[in-house]
Amino acid sequence: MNRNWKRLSLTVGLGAALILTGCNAESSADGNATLIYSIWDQGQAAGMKAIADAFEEENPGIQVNVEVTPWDQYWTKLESGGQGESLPDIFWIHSSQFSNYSEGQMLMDISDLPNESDTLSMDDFPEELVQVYTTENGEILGVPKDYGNIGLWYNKTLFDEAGLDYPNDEWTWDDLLENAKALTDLENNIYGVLAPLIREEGYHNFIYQNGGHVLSEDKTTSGFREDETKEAVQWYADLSVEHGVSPTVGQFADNTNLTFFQSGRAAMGFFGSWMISQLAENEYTNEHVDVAPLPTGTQDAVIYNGLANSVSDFTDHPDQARKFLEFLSSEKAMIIQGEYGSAIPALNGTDESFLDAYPQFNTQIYLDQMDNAVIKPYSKFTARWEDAENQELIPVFEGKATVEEVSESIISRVEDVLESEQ
Amino acid sequence: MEVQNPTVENTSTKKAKLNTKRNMMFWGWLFIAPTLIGLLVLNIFPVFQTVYLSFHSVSTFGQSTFIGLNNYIKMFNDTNFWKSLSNTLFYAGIQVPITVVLSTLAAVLLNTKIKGLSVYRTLYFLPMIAAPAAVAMVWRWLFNSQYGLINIIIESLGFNADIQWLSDPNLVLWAVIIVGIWSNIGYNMILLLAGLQEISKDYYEAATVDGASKLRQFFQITLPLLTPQLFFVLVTSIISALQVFDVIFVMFDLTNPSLSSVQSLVYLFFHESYVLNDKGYGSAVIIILVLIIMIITAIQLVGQKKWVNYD
Repeated sequence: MNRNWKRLSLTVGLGAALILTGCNAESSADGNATLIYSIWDQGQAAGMKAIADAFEEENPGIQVNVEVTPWDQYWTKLESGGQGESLPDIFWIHSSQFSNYSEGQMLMDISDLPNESDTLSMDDFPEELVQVYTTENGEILGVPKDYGNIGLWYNKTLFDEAGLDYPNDEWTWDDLLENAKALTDLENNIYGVLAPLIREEGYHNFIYQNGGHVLSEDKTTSGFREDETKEAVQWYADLSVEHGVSPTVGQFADNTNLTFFQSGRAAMGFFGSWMISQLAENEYTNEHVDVAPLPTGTQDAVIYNGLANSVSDFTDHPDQARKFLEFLSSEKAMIIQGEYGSAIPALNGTDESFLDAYPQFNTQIYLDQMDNAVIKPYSKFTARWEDAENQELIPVFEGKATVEEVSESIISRVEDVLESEQ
Repeated sequence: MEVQNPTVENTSTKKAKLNTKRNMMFWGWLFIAPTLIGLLVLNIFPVFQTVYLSFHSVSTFGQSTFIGLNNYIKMFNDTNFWKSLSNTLFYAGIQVPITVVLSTLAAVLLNTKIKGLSVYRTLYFLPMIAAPAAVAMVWRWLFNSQYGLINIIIESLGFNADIQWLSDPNLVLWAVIIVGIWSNIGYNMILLLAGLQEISKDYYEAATVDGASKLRQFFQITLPLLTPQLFFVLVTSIISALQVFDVIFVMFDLTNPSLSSVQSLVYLFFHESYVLNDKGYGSAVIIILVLIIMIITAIQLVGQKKWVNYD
């Protein structure tokens, strides 16, 4: 029965493949190959293509096609590709999805690549980031490509009009709140700060600034057991609930925080470094805004994360794909990435190349903040406990409950997920 | 083709007939093969696979462990499931009747001789050719509580226009219903229009001679003779209404406080299977939806004898 199905799908698949490959038939003998490099960010396509071009120049015979699939479809597509054992040769992987692919044995173990290579050394990348893409058994399944963290963006024009000084690295939570209050002008629909219900670019930063955490070190308990965590989330939620200096969760259902910021209706907002290109493309924000470090709680902290390049375990051209991965992780490719302003390069010492891409913004702060950066909380089923946390916090942001009141259910739901991971 | 010779012996005629029949069979199967293969590979096989998955705990790639009815037990204790089920039934219960009534009305009106008839017909049918995701995106802007065209129009009519279409838990489902009605009227109207044009003019002439009013003609001639098409429209509308997904997916973000008041069973299935990566549980949810659809459709098929007029 199963065999018939296999034959049937094989026939159909072959038929389709014949039609599709008719225009793209290339031999893979003697080192020649065409590699597919799959990414999800259109904004980075130009930089990635430039890297591919530089690689092709050095390696005649190997061609690299960069394929962009938007984030939402990227994972669905990659997943069905994985099930059919036909993944792109090399592709971006994200910490929230990594465990699926590592446990499903979809990714090539490249632990020996740093030994073979003259240029690649895992010590040259942020340690926690390397850790994300390394399994418990020490297999390296991806090389970090970039890193990103969160900055406090502000509207210079609104600050000027209010006669206030711009945010600086001395700012505390109180400064943020005071200024937000002074800048909020509800008659003209202008808010002091944007504090939507989001984690990485939102309350998770404040949890760590207050000395709390999201998951315990061993990933078995929820940080909502700690008062520091609850306090920080409550403070963040109160920006909209109690102080009214941020739009409410209901208003964010109509307009995203980016929309508020780009239409000049908010004086401050928290945005990741991956948003810089969008803020630069928008005429209004390109001219009127700049970025400062996040304010300080009881300590400095910011969430950072980074994606990695991984090679498919099913690739027909393993040698060429490894070669390309090595190139992607080299100084040359990292600097191209920075200069194109695609993302902040992960390789130590190359991140400054990113600064020239957006001279209009003080992007230096993203580099400086790495001294106090905390890796984005992750575990095996990250999406599941994130979803639980999100659902339970909705009433808090609606002002119908306090963090203290919902913390019990957050703890039990998050820890259920964590337990199922063991 | 060979011309058949009438003087050929009986047996060989039989043989030839058999051959022709076999030939016909071959070509018949060949011609339906593309559809048949597509149906088997893309529809029938996944159905069995989904049933299988619903009894398993599934990791993204490959391994699944048999866990019996655990997914179903979890589902019956999941408030999200019950909320999604009631949202779905409410949506179908409101959207379908309104759509069917309005599309019948539109079909009857567009079955008359008025100027620019094809323009109107095209206009009504347009929503059908637009991509559902794009439609939902545009409606999302229309529904925007501050800048949306809908609230602006309501305000210009002198009403209080602070309507939170996309975040008020009591309204969100209605927002989706409105989009659903708007996008489905055109398609149903075309089907009903085809039915209307099959009704012989003689009935109406006779009725006019007998002095029946237009309204009476509609209820006594048009409606009864339109029942086969109405039945078809009803069955397909209910099925597609119970499968509502894309509008919700595009119009409501995960952090939307009213998401639980609007999410449908298919949305829950998508969320569990692809966002949270729990394919086993997602499959169980969708199996329940399939069962519900099958039961409702079966009831309709039995019930049609009571009201559908096939002659």
